[in-house]
Amino acid sequence: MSDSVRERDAGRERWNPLRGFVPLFRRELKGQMRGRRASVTFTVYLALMVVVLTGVLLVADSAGSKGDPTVGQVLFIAMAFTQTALILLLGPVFAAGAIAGERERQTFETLVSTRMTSGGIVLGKVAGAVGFLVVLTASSLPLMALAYVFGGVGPSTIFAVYGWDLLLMIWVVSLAVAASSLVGRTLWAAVITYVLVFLAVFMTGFLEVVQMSLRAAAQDGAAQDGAASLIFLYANPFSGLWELAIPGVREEIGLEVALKSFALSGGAWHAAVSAAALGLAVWAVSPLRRRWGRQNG
Amino acid sequence: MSEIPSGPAMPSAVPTTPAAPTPVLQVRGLVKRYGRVTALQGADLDVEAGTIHGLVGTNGAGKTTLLRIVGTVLRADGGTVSVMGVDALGKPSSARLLLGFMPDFFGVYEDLTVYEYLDFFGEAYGLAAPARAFRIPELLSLTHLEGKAASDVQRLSRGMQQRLCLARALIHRPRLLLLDEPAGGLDPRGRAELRDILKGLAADGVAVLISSHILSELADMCTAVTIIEQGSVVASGSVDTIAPAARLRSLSARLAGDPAPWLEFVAARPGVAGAAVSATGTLEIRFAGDLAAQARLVAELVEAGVPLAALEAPRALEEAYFESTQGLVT
Repeated sequence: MSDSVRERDAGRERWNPLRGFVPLFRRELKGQMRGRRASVTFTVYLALMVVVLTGVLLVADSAGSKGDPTVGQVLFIAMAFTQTALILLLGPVFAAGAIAGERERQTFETLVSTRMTSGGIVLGKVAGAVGFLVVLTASSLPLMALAYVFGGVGPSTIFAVYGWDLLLMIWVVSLAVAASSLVGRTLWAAVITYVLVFLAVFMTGFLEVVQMSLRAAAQDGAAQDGAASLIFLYANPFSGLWELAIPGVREEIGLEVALKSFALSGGAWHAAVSAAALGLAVWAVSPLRRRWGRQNG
Repeated sequence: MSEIPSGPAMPSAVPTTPAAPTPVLQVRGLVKRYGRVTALQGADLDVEAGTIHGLVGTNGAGKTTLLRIVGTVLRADGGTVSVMGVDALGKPSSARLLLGFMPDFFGVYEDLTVYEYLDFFGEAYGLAAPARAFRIPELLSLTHLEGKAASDVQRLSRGMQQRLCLARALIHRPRLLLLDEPAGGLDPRGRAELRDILKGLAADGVAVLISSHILSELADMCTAVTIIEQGSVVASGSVDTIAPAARLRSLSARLAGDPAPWLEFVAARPGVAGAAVSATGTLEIRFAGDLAAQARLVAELVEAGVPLAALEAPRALEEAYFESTQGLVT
C-alpha cells in the first residue's frame, strides 16, 4: 500500500464495528485446536458420553427392556443432559482466558493497538470458543444418532437439542468473556462464570421451590397460576432442554395451557443475557474507555 | 483498501499538498491524570519524518504514558495528538493505520509459528492476503528471521521475539514507529542489530520515537531527543542543540607520563578554569566551551608537546540529561 493511499484511507475510513472479527476467530480456533488441552478434552468428553451410553444400555438390558423403543428415548435424554452439563462445565475453561489471558501474557496492548475494533475482538473471541465447543459436541453426534437407531427419537428432536446447546454455548461463553474482560485474571474469570452458571442451574430451582411454597401458603391450597409460579425456571439452562429432549412432556404433566414454551421463553432469556454480557465485554475491552478514577498505566 | 467508500470524495483529514513540511507526530498540551497523580502535564512534542527521536526520562517521568497515548491504547485527559494530520485522540482507528506500536512489556502468541503470527497481525491491520504474502518475507529479512518462518514463536530466544515484535509493528508500513524501551533484555549484539534496523527505517523516511534509559544507546542512533521529567518536557531538539555548550565540564586526559609538569600550562589555556591530577593519575580539566573550543584545546596541547594519549569527555546527551533533570518523578 502506498503512503498516499494509506494516508487517504486514514483520513476517510468507513466505520466497521466488527473489524478484526475474521482473523481473530481464525486465530482463536487454531489456538484452541492446538496443543494437548484439545486432545485431552475430546478424549474425556467422548469417554464420558460412551460411559453414559454404556450405562444406560446395561441398565436397560438388566431390566429386560431390550427392543423397547423407550430405551432409545432414555438413552437420548441421558446423553443430551450429559452433553449440556459438559458444555456448561467446559465453556468457562475455553473462554475465561479470552481477554484476561491476553492481559496475563501481555499481548492485550498489541492486539488493541491494531485496527481491530472492540466488537471485532469480543465477537472473534466468542466465536472462537463457541466454534471449538461446536466441533466438540459434533464429535458426539454419531453416539447421539444411536438413539435414533434404537427408535423413539426423531432427527428433529436431535437437532432441536443441538440447537438449544448452541444457544447455551453462546450464553456461557458470553458470560465467561464478559468476566474475562472485567477482571485481570483467567482464574477469577472462570470462578465468576462458574458461580453464575451454578446460580442459573441450582438457584433458579431453589427459588422456584421457595416461591411455590409461599404462593401455596398464601392461596391456602387454591389452584396456582402455573405460568407465574414457574417463572424462575425459564432462566434455568436445563428447562428448555427438558422440553426439547422430551417432546410432549408439558402436555403430559398438564402445563400446556399455563406455561409458555420453556424453549422459546428460556431461549429469549438466555439470548438477552448473552447480548448484555457481550455489550459489557465490548465496553470493557475498549482501551480508550473512561475509567472511573482507575489507574491503568 | 476495500474500506474506501465509493462515490464522491469525502473531505480528508490529511492535507494532500501541505504548504510546509509538517512533523509526522505533533503532540500539544498532552495531559494525563491517574486519580490525583498527574502523569503528563501539558507535554509538547514534534517528531519529523526520517528521524530517530529519543524520549529520555527517569522511571515514572511519563515516557510510557506518552507513548501509550500516542499509540492510541490509553485515553488522554487533555491536549491533542496529530499523526500526519490525523487526530489520533478523536480518530484512533485511522491513526493506527499510520503508526506501529511496540510496548515495553509484550508477549507473543506462543501457539503460532512466526509466519502465522505476522500473518495474523497483517490481517488485523486490514492487509489483503497477497500483500501479506509479499510483506512478511520482507520483514523477516529486515529483522534477520529469514530461517524462522516455520518455527514456533515459543521456541524463539528473547532477542528474536523482540525482533519479531518489531516486525509485527512494521507489518502495515507505518509512518511513525513507537518503541517503548525496545532494547530491554537484548544482548550487545541484539542492540547493535536493533540500532541498524532503526537507522535503516529512518533512512526510508519512517519517524521513530523511542524511549530508553540507556543514554549511550540513544546517543548512538538518535537525531533528536526529548527529555521529560515529572510529566513535562524539559528539553527537546537535536542532541547538539540541547547539549549545554557554555557551562563547565570535566575532561579527563590520560598522558603518557607524569601529568604534574603540565598542570600550569594546561590551566593557562583559553576556556580552562582549572586542572588537577586525579588519584588514578589522569589530568582532570575543568573546561567551558563547545566542541570546536575543545578541539582547539586538544590541538594546542599536542602542539606544545603534551604527551596526550586519550581525552574523555562526558557524552553530550548525558550532559544534557543531567543538566535538565533533577531525578524527580510524579
